[in-house]
Amino acid sequence: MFVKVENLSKIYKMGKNEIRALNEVSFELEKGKIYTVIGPSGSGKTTLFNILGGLDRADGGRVFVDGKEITAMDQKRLSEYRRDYVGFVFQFFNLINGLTVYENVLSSAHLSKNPLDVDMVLKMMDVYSEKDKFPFELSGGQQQRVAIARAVVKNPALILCDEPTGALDYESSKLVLKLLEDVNQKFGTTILIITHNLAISKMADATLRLRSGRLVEFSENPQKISAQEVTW
Amino acid sequence: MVIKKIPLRVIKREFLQFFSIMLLVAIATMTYTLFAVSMQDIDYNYEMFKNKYNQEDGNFITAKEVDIKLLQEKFKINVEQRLFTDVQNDHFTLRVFSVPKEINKPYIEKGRMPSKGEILIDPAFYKRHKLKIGSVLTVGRENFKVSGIAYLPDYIYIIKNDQDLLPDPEHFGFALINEDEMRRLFNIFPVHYYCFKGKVENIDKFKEFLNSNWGLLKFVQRDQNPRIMYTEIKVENAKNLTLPLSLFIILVSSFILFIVMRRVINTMNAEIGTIYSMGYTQKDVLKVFMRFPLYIWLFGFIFGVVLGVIEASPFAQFYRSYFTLPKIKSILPWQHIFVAMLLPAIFIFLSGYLAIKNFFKLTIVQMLHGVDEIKFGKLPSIKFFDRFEFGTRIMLKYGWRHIGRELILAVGIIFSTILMMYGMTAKDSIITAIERTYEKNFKYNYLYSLNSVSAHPEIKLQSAAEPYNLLSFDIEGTKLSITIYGIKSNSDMIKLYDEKGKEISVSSELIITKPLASKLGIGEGDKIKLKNKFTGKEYTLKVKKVANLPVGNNGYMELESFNKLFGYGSGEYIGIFSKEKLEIPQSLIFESYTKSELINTIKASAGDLSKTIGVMALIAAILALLIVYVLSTLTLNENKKNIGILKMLGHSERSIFKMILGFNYISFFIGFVAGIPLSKITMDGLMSTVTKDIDFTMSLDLSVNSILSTFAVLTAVFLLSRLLARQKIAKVMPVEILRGQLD
Repeated sequence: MFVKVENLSKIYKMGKNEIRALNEVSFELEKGKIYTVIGPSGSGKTTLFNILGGLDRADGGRVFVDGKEITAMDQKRLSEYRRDYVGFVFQFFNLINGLTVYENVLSSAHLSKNPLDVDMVLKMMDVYSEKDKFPFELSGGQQQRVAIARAVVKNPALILCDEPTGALDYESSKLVLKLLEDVNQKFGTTILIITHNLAISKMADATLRLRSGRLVEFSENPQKISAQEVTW
Repeated sequence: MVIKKIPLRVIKREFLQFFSIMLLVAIATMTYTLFAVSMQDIDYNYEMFKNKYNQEDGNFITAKEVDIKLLQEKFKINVEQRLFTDVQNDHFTLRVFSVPKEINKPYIEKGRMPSKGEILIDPAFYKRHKLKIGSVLTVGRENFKVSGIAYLPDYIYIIKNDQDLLPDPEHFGFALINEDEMRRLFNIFPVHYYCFKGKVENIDKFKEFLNSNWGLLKFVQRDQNPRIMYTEIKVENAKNLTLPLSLFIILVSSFILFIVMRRVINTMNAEIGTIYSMGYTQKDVLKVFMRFPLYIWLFGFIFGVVLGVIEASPFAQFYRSYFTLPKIKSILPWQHIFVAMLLPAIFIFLSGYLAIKNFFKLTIVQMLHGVDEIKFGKLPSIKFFDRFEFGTRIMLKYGWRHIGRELILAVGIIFSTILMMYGMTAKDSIITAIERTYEKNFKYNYLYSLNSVSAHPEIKLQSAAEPYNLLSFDIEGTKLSITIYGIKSNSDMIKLYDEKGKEISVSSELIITKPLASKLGIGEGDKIKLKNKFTGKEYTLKVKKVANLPVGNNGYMELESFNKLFGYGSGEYIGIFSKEKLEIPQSLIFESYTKSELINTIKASAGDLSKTIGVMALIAAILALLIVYVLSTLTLNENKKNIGILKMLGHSERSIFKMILGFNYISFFIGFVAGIPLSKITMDGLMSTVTKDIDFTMSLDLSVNSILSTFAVLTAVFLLSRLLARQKIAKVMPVEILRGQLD
């Protein structure tokens, strides 16, 4: 198994109250597949995203990625894990405003031991013509494609997407999904998409459904459709 | 690392804001470099001048010619006579000396030693009168050709009289001609002037010896000589001013930098979080974001040091000409340049590091989501503001929320007020000195100082003239001295008034001036112990009244009582105050001057001061502008989202500006109001430090006009900086807030 999650728990303290964002969650993900995580607000989707990405710490349980236990890693090793294994795509793009499109992607490529060619990735994402522009000069859809390019260029084994279409219009969303599918097919990258949009689950190999911090369903999708066919 | 480009791009984007901080650092560095380099230059050259050209340890004037050989043998000192006379023409007085050979040797900057028919001129007089080598000057009955420019170690502060405040090259200067020519030209020398070099074991015995043998008229030791000490004190004072002034500016700029860094970090939270999430380490991020202070420091330091070094030379030249100090050798004090480089670096890197380090306490998730800088709920007494109408309430809450920033603004305004007031005070005080002392108190038009104390039967005093006597005393327990005048009881020449403006009648008891009383910390009824400067005889006198005179370490009492008390005969005197010009034989006159001469000197000096005031006002205005602008734009940048929402709700730009930055008016006003008494306190402190050990005091008075002028300048600067900041509000589009695209 590429990703193995065992009894994962996370508790947030809000004053005197405790909120169990994740409660004994366990699942396994195979390499080279697309997964979606769905669930209502507050179900623990983003918390799962953060822990899998090595951005946050778990309070219980263990997470293994490619055989390495990331829940036991110190800050330095977590940094290395993020650098070597994970690419992130956020809802609000989180591009670096002070860098051009090209430089944003280069800033990620620079970290990788085995990066892809920046120009090739930009062309693949159809933003090559915008490479000298700054993020604020781009549309939302273009910015998200740059964000995907930045995640992909490192040639990571795992790409984590937090609501990647949440801030986009329909056409841009479709394009983004298509590009994620292309990346998965071309590079064999495992992709985990956190979304509110149930329709996106149709292009995934499996879907994890969370509710109140618990994994209530892990369903395989034998009738998977292509990103092009996804509609809502 | 491509991410290292981020800081320069952010600086470019927020150019004015960062440029203002760079400018603050540059001003701090420049101030330090300018003062330190020029002071070091002056100090070095002065020391060289003093030692190499054999500055005197003292000088004295006697009524009869001294036996130099006897004096040298008895007291083991070196004594040299110097012939001198004051040559007056319609516009100026030239003090002509014979060329000294051993003590106070002249340094010739340009030209050569005078031969027959030639004259050396002091540099200030030379410059002011646009003389050239070869120009002809009439001295006495003959014409002399200017052979060069000369500096004298005992005339580095060229004032005509010991009491003069500032040099006035327009009306006074010195010249050197050969001794033979002096003797040929002025065959009568009413008094005899000597300089000495060497340590006298018992100064009282020395003076007593001079007095009993040759009639001592004046005795001045080096550390009581205003022509030497003013320069030393002013140089020392300027040196002491350097560090606090530049340190303050560096501190203010560092604090503002700290606030700006925090804001930059806070607004870039998601970006830093993203950089982290990509796998960059804390060290990588630190390396990138420490470039902000690095660039600010580099720009500020390079710009400041270059400007400081460039300006130091003319500045030192200006100072040197003010004190008449020569430049014997050029130096570049690297240690000060190193300090100028290091001083801001310490503060700037520390503040930058602290701002970034603070951010590292957050988790990556917190960075990605952003955290509020301060929680309103955490601040106490916030509910108090709810009693005000909406706009005022929000304005007060914003001010309260950024109270640290408001304090910095107030401190900046206090500093600018003090700086501007400093110049205004100096000018005001001099104007007061002219108006009060020479127009209200001193009614005479001519003052004649004679070369001996006697009844002077050969002089017929007219009705418009009054005799006076005087003696100088050391004040026991201090390094100060007092000159006591014996004047007529109902004098028409000297009018003394108390604090309330009531005329004080002169009697057998001592009246002292207000500046002296405050320097000694004494008042009416107190006693002071005095020691006669010439004889060493001691007296204890009770102060009857304190006269409200702004200048001078003087005392007054009735002439006959004065003569009786200090052992003079009835009717004896040493000088004459007169409303009209008197015909007194030249051989009897030691020195003389007119009131208009004195007034002109002071007015000319006040005119020179205007330039200094101008520079101070400019620095104060730039500082105020930068501080207010940086802090205002900072607050506006942080509140772009709120501004957009308020705009959406329909609030006008004016009311939004008032809500978000209205508190600045309160801080500005508090800063200004606090600045006035603080100016007075710091100026009084400065004046008492400067004049602690010298025989000169001046009351520092602030006039309503100077307060209003300072207020007007600072208000104009404040409003200008706000006008610049206000443009930021106009640029915020509500639609951008909705799109969530604001940085």
